[in-house]
Amino acid sequence: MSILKTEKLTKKFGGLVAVNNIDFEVNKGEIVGIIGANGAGKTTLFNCISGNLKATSGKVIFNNKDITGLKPYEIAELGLARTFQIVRPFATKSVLYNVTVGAFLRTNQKAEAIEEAKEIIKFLNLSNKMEALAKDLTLPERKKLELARALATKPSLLMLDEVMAGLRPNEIKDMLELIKKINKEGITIVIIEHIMQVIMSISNRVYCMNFGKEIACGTPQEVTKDKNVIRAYLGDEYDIPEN
Amino acid sequence: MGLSEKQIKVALLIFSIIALFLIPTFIKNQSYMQIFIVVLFYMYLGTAWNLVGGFAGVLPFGHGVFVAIGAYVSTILFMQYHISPWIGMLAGGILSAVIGIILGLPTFRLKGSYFALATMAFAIGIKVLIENINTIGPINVGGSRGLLISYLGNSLANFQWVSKVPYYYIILIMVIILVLITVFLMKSKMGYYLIAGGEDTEAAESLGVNVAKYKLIAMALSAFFTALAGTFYAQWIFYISPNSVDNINFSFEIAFIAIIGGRSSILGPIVGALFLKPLEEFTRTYIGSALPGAHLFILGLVLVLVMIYQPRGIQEIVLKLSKKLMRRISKKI
Repeated sequence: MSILKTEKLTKKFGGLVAVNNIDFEVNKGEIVGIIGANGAGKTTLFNCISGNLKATSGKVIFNNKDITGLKPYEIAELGLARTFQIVRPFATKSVLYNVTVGAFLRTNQKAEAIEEAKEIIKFLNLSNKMEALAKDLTLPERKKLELARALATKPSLLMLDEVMAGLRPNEIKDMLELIKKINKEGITIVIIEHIMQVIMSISNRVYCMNFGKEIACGTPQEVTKDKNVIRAYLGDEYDIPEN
Repeated sequence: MGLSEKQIKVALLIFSIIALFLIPTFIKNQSYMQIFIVVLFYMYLGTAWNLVGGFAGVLPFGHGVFVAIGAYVSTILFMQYHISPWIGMLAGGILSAVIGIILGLPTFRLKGSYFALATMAFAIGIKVLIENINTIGPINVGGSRGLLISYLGNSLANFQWVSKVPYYYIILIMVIILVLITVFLMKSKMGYYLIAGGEDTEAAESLGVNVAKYKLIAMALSAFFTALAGTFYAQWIFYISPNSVDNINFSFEIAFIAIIGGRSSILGPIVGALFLKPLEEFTRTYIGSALPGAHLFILGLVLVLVMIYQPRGIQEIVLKLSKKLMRRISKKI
C-alpha cells in the first residue's frame, strides 16, 4: 500500500530543472533509498515533498491526501517528518528542550511532551547528553538529535537527508542500527545517502537520480547492476562487460 | 548543609520582593522615588518588548508606537469622555494588540534588520501623523502640542495622586504580574514554539510549528502590555505629546535595555533596566553638564561592548556570579 506518491513532480530554478517529472512511490513499512551524485536533485525532491519548496508542477500524495502546496508545519502535522542535511538544532537550548519542541506537536501538556521526549532520547542512546546544550554536541550527536526531534513528532513517514554524511564507520554502523530499529517500530523511511554500501544494506528499494531525472529504480541488487546508474557514477565511457 | 540552592533562591526572591514593597516607607525623598519609578517603568517596557523582540527572535525598533496608543486612548477617554483611565488602559491595550497584528502581518515576512527598519518607519510615520492631526471628528488629538491631563483629585478611579508612592506600587505590581506571565508563557508550549521559531524558522516549521502564528500572538501580547505602560506614563507625568511617547529614541531605549540586559532571558530586561537607567542618570548629572550628550555616548559604548563581549547580555554575568554566591552561602549554612 502506498503511503507517499509523487506524480510528475517538477521543480525549476530559472532555466535549471532540478527535479524533472519524478514519479516516486513509497509503500507503507518500507525503507526506500534515494541515491545520486551531487546536484542530482535529491534534496530538492525532499524539499518539494516536505513543503519547504514549492514545486513548479506535479502532485505530492501522502496517505491518499493531496499535500501539494501545503505549508511545512501542516505537512508535519499530517505525520510526515524530515531531517536536514545540514543539521539545524536550536543551538542555545538543551537536547531535551530541542526534542520537546517536536513532542509538543501531539500534546499540549508540558509534562507529557517532556516524558515523550525523554523516551525518544533514551531510544536513540543520547540519555547522557539530555541536559547538554545543542551547540556543544559532536557531529554524530547532532545528527542523532536531528533524528530525535523528527521522531518526537510521531511521524508515520520519516525522510532522512544524509544522516550519515561525515560520520566514521563505527558511527555509521550505530546509525544504521537505529534506523532499522525505527523502521521496526512501524515508521516508513525514505533516506538520501551518498555512501552506496550504506544504502544497499538497509533499503528495500532504491531510486537513483541524475540531473533531476529518475534513471533507475528497483532492489539494491538490480540498481547496482543498472547501466545508467554505473554511467552516472563512473562516467559515460565506462561500460560493464556483458557476461 | 541546611538549605539547598533552590531554597536560598526562593528565600532571596521573597526577601527582595518584600524589600521592594517596603522601599517607600524608608525613602521619603520624592526625587529618589521618581528614579525608582523610572527604573521599574523601563523594566516593564523591556520585559514587554522581550516577548517579541527576545523570545520570538525578531527586532522591533518601534515600540514607542504602542506606548503612544496606550497613552492617547486612555487620555482621550479620560479627559474628553470622563471614562476612568483603568478602562482606558484596557481599551488602549486591545487597540494596540490589534495594531500590533496589523503591523506584524506584512512585516514578519521581512528578515533581520529589514524588519527592524519597517517597525521603525511605522513608529516615525505614526508620530508625524499625530503631530499633524489636531482633531479627528469630535476628538481632540492635540497635534504636536500634545495633551494635558488635568488633576481631578487623589483617587484610585482617576488613577491620580499627588504623591509618587501610589505610582511606585502600581508599576511595581505591573512588573511583577508581567514577569510572572512571561515565566508562565515560556514554560508552556507557546514558549517552546516561540523560541524554536526564533532560533530557526525552517527547522521549527518542519517540526509542525506554525511560526508566523506564534510570532503574531507574541506581537499582540507585547503590544498589549506595552500600551498599558503608556496609560501609566500619561497618568504619572500628566502630559503626553508625540515627542514624549512616540519618540524614536524612546523606542530604541526600550529595545536597548532588553538587548544589553539579555534578549530572550526573563532576567535580561530586569538587569538591563537596573544597570542602564541609574548609569544614565548618573552620567547625565555628573558628566552631562560639562559635556552635553556624553551620557548618550556612554550608552552607545556600553551597547557596543556588550554586543562584542557578552552577546547574551549582562544577565549571564549576573547569573554566574549569583550561582557562585549561592554555592558559597549554601555551604556555610
